[in-house]
Amino acid sequence: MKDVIEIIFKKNGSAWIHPQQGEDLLIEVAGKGLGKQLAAFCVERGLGITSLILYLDEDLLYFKKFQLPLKTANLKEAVGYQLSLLAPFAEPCLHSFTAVRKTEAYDVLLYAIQAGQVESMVEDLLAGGFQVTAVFPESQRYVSGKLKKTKWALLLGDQSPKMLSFEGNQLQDRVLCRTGPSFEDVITFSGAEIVFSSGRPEDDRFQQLNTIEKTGGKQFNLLPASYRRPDFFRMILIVLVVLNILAAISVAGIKGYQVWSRSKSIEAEITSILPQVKETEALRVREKSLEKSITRIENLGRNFDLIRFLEKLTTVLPKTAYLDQIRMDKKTGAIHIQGFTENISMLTKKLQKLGDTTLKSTRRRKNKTYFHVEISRK
Amino acid sequence: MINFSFLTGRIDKKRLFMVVLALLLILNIGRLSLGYYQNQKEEVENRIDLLNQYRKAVVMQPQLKKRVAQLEKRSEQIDRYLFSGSSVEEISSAMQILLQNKVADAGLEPESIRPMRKGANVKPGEIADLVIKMRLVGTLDEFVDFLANLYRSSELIKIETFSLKPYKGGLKISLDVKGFYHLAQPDS
Repeated sequence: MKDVIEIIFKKNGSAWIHPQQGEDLLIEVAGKGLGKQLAAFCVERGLGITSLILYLDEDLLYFKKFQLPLKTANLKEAVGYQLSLLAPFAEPCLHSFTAVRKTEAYDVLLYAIQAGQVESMVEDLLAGGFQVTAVFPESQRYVSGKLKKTKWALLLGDQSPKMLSFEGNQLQDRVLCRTGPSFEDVITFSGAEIVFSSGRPEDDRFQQLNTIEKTGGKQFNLLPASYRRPDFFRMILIVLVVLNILAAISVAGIKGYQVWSRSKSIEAEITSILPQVKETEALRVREKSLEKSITRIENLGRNFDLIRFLEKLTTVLPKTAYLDQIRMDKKTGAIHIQGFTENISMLTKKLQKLGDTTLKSTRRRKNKTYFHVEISRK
Repeated sequence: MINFSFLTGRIDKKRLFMVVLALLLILNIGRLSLGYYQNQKEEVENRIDLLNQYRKAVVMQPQLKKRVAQLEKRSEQIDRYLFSGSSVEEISSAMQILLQNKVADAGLEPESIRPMRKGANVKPGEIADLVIKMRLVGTLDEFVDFLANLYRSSELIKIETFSLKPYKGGLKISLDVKGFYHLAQPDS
């Protein structure tokens, strides 16, 4: 649902468009008092709307299409200069233009109107308690998003209509026709695929204006800057974007600073603790070295207790046994005993007390048994 | 397949392209920033781990000092088991003198006491050994006295092998003993 009232200003009055019903209510208002009448109209219809969009009849507007060189440094200044040369007004005027860069030059479309004419309308409406948001040429009212990729034309006015050719949302040209042109003339001149007409032509190939799904154009706003309401939505949007960016930067900055400060404090602590760490490392190295050295010495081994062995051997050896040799094997550490006895079985039995005894050899000679016994050390 | 033509028909392609590029740029900057932040954070975490290890090491330092002191004491004690000298010849001589004295103290008669030299070079600080071959004559009691004396010695002299044979009412004793030594560090 629209929350603005559209007003089309014509030479002989103005048409108010009801925001819900869409009806065009043509009211002829001469001189002052438009604002008050509109206020009364709103009260009568129960409309609590104060925003207005004004559309100016193409007959009220001066239009010019011209070209400017591509090297033009400041288009606004150049258009202003051209306007001062071309405009048929003596007094100050309001203007709005579009410039499309082409291969050879800028195509400039210019609308202009005497400033006093618009200002008096706006003042009158402001006095009625309304807020004018924009002032457009009437053709902008019929711009449709549905025709975005289409070349189309618009015939406004009955007696000497104005033919406006569009490509999508972009106005291409406006031509003043002496008489109502034929459909073929319009197609040939504008290259349009669809032609809309405000009148009631006999040729049914013209389409009625009320068949356009109007979305409204945004070009050629002729409302004086002093009356323009600040675009709060845009401002809020910009502020929000800026705040978001600042918040994102702040978050990133805070996170970065936290990491940086933590890193710095850790580095400081590492630096302070490092001498002690080096000392500890040196102690560890010393510990390993000492352990290794001690282990090596301890692994050298102990002496076999030969005294105890000889003592035991003397004790356990039968009195009938005689020894020729006692020898310790260098490799195995086993003790080899060689001698002779009268009773070998008693000898071996007794020698078992000294360790694992192995009888290596025996030999009988002269009524004696010569033996070779090995006693392994446990 | 989803048809997006209804979107492209309504939206200005140039603007859409610019918006997509801007979004991609923002996403890429965000991704890079996040990656940088993660790297920094990981680095800090690694440094924290390192610091914790250092702290643990420092906490252990008093115990470690105590342990090293004990080991040094033990090392000094067991170093006494080893012969020490500036050269192998000096050590060999000291060993032979020690053994000669112990043989004489026990009353044994030495036939020969001679060292078996090894060819390998010994570096200062390394533990090496030297075998000494002994040929002795005496009684069993004298030999036992010698052994007792040898075992009481502060230096470690290990009996590698021995043989005892009867000889002229006593014993003929062959002994291979091994002494351990380390060369003293040369004065710098």
